Amino acid sequence: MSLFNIFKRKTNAKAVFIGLDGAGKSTIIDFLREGRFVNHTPTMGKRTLEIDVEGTRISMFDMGGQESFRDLWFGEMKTAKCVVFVVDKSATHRFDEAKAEFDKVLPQIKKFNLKLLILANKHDLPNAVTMAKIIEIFGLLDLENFEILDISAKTGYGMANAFSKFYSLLTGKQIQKVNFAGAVSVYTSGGVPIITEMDQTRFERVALEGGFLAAISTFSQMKLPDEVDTNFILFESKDHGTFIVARSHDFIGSLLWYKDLGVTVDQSKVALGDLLDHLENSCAGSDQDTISFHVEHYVSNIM
Amino acid sequence: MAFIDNISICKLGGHEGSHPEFVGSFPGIIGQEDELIDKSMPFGTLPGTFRSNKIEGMNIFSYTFKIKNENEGVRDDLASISVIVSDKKVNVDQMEILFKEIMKVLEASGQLHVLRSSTLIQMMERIYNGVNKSEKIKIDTLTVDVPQIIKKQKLIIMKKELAEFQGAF
Repeated sequence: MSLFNIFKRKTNAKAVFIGLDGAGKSTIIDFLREGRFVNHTPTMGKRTLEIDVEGTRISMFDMGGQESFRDLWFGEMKTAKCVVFVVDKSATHRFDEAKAEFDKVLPQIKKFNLKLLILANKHDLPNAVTMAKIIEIFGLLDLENFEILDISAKTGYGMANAFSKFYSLLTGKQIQKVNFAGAVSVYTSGGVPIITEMDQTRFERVALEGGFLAAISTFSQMKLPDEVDTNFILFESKDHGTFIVARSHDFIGSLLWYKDLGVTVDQSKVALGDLLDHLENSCAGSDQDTISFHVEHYVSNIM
Repeated sequence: MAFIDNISICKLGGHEGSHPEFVGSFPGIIGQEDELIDKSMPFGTLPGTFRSNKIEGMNIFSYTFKIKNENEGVRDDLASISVIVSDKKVNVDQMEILFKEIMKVLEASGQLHVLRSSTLIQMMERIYNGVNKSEKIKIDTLTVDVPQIIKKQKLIIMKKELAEFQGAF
C-alpha cells in the first residue's frame, strides 16, 4: 500500500441488523440502499451489504431472524459498532419471543459498548402498537442509552430520519435530512391527479395546480421509447420555480424543486425516480387511498 | 442410461417460525440432505442464483428461486432445486448448461413461483425423465423442449468413449 492510500482510505463502520424473522430487516436495509420498497424472500443465514456515505464505508450485516440462525448474531456483534434491533410492531403475538431475544443480546451490547437503535417497523399497518407500548414491553426505560424510531420500510415512513440516526450512532457524525421538495404530486399514467403533498407554508393548492394539469396531461400522452422506464422533463413555472416531472409504468410524478437548498436537480430527479419506483413496487394497481397513503409516508422523507 | 441421479428441492419458508428444510427429491432420497441444504442454499443466497458443488464426488447443480407462499399475505419462500450427477461419463460442463437453460425456461414461465407441495414431485419427475430421456418436459401448458436446447446449444451430454485398442504392436 502506498503512503497516499493511507490518506485515501475510507473509515469502516459495521452495523448488525437483528430481530425476529419477518420483522423487516432486509427490507429496511434495501430501502436504505435503494430508496424504495423491495419485496424479500427470507434471509438465508446472513448477507452483507455496503454503502459509502461521506467517506465512510458502512457494512450492514443483515442477520437471518429464524431461530436456527440466531446464534450467528453474537459472532457478528463482537466486531460491530452498532446494533439495529428491528421489531415488527404489528406482530403482537410475537412480542414475548422478540423480548426474549432482545434480553439475550443486551449483555453483549453492554459488554462491547455497542450503540443500540431500535426500529419499530410496519408502522403503516392498522394493528401496529404505539411506540410507547414497544418501550414498555421491551423495558427500554431501564436502559442507559437507546434510540427508537417508528418506521415503515413498506411505505417509506420515517426512513430518512432512521438513516440519519443510524449514521450518527455509527459514525458520531451528523447528517441532516434536507427538505428540498416544495410539493410532490402523483398522477395516474393517464394524468389523473391522485395526491398532492406540499409545503403549506409557501403554497396554496389551487394556485399550485392551476395550469400545471395541462402539462401533465400532455406528458402522459407523449410516446416514450419502450426501453425507458422513467423519463424526465423540467417545467418552469413563473410563480413557483422548477417542476421536475417523471413517468414510470403506472404513475406520473412531479416534484417542485427548491434550488437554494444545495440539492441538485439531478439528485432531485433521482429522488422522484425513487418515489415512482417505490410506488411501482409497493402499490401499483392499488386503489387511490392506498397510493395516497404511500405517497404521504414516502414524501415525509424529502419535505 | 441416466444422466442425472436425482432431483431435490430445499426451502426456507417465508412464514414465521420457518427453518431451512429438505422438501423432497425424485427418485428416492439421497442421504445427504443437510449438506445439500448448505450447498444449494448457502448463506446470503438470493433468488436467481446458479451454483455448482460437489458432495462426496457427485456433481450438484443448483438454482435458487422464490415460491409464492401458500398463505395469503406472507412473503415468498426461498427455495433451491438441485440435480445430482454421479456418472463420470457425463460431461458435467454440458449438463450444467442444459440445467441452466431448463431453469431459465421454467423461471420465465412462472412455473417455479407457483410450485406447490402437490405439484412438486410431478415437476421433479418430469424434469428427471425429460433430461435422462432427452425428451420434451411438459408441465401444464408449458413445454421445455430439451432436444431443441441440446441441438441449439450443441451439447454433448455423454463423453465420447475412447475406442478400444485392437491388434498387436
